[in-house]
Amino acid sequence: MSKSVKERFRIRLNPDGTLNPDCIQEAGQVWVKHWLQERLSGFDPYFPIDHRYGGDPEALVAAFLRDMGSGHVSFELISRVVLDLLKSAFSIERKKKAAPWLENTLRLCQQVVLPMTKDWFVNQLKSLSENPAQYEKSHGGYEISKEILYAAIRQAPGIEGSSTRVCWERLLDETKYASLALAGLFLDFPGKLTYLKRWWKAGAKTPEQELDYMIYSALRSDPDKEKIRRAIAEAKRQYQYPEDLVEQINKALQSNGINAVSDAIAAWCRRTSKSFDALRKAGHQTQFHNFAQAF
Amino acid sequence: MPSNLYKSALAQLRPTERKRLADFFSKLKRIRKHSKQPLDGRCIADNIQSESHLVGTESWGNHKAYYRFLRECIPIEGRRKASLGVIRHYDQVCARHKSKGIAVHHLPKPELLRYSYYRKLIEDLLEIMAGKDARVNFQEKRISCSEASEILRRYWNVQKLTSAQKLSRSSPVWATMELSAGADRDDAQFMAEALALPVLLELASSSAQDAVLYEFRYPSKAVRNHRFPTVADAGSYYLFSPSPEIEPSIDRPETCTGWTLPLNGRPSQPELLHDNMPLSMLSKAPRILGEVQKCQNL
Repeated sequence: MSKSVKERFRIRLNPDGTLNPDCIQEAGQVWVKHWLQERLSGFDPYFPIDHRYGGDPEALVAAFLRDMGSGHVSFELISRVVLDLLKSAFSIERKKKAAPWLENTLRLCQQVVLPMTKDWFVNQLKSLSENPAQYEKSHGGYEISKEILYAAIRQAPGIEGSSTRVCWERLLDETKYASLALAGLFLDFPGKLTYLKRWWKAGAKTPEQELDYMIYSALRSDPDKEKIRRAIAEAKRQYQYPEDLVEQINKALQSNGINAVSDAIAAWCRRTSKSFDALRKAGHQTQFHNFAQAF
Repeated sequence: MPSNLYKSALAQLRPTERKRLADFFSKLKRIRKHSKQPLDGRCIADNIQSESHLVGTESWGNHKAYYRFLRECIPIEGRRKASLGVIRHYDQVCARHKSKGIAVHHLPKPELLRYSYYRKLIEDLLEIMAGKDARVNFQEKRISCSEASEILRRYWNVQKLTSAQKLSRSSPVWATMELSAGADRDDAQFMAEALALPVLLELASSSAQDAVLYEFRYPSKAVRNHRFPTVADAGSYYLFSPSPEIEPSIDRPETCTGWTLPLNGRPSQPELLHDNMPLSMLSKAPRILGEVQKCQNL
């Protein structure tokens, strides 16, 4: 860092002892870029990083950004610099060696929405979804591509009507990225059920465990067991879930202390006086499943 | 007060080197006073002078390793360094002298505890144990600390861990143990202050914080190379107190480890270092204590 860059920063504090964000803006883009590049690489002479108990270098920057809010000029300045760091991390000169700031820059993007980086993440999503193997090859492998996707969930989610939705949908068919794609498309459980069949078909690495967690998580956010079970039963019918998926859902429901979907159907049959139990007792599995599908 | 180790190492330096080391100290001491940086050069300089356990592989009181450390602290002649350049240089020197505290042979407790607020590790563990959705939910703050703790307990399977997942981002690892009474290990704020952790958090408001403190427990025999922490291990992080110059003795358990410099009057905690190890040695999931808020009294 040149002397002029070093001397540009003068820390200023608010009366409550927090950082006055104006001092970042006053330091200018050149200083901010040097500061972030060093900090996100693990070294910061201005705000030392606690290596003893594992301070995350990006955590303080994220806290500053949250404090100043997206309307502050310094927020925009930091966003611009983050975009710059992302671009330079994948520049031609750096192709063979990962930039030391990349991991923490991506982690910063996983925590705070930085509107200036959106287009960059949209482009990454497009390239990755079009040719994952090629993308991984040119972006330092699967681990980095995965971290880019985690950040893209924050910066360019695949919400209804967004330009990235089609990219997330394409990624849903890729074994390695299916689970992240599901998270990128939908954050709520009923939304996930829409794409569950496609996700299941992609064969994520540990689908049983992920399914178990999805149901566990759904129940944590909405303890109405019956509602969850009804949503599953409805999605099962509407999207024609395959048997192995239904079986796995039932296992997950049971491990979370809820009767299987098929039991729910049986209960419904009993309530509505349909002679379903007899069918099941007689061991007519095909009819049972047809009946269940019809439900 | 300068330690005997410091004095005898200093005596080995040539007069010109001693003068340049004194210049280095005076530059260090000016840091907080003039630039209002959240680091305190005076503390760092005082700590260097009171260090007594940096002996490397030598025996108690041997100054060879510390002499080498002090020599390297002296900036190269002809290169004028501004105050922050001094810190940069000092950190580089410290990085070369890590894990050179005297070996800890007598551990007063069979179990070690590692506290950390390295959030990425918790996120990685959630991803490995419960899946990517769990990590996203934690990142998006849709699950609380206690829920994350419960998820890790529920899905914990040590077989899923590879050698890539380690206790700490870097080696050596700072650890403590249940030696002192009065430590409320269920209170994140209490433990963070007892371990002198939240020093930088004064610069951001409490609502902007995202520091989750968690605890790993493991047998001390499962890790190697137990050592006293020294100024070189603390680097430019000034909230560190070198151990008093007392030779470690099994008869006095309090001399067998270093001790933290606690904040806000919390009880000091024992501290020692060991090599970084894969998490696969853990039999239990980490316990998440909660979020650490801004520290008011630094």
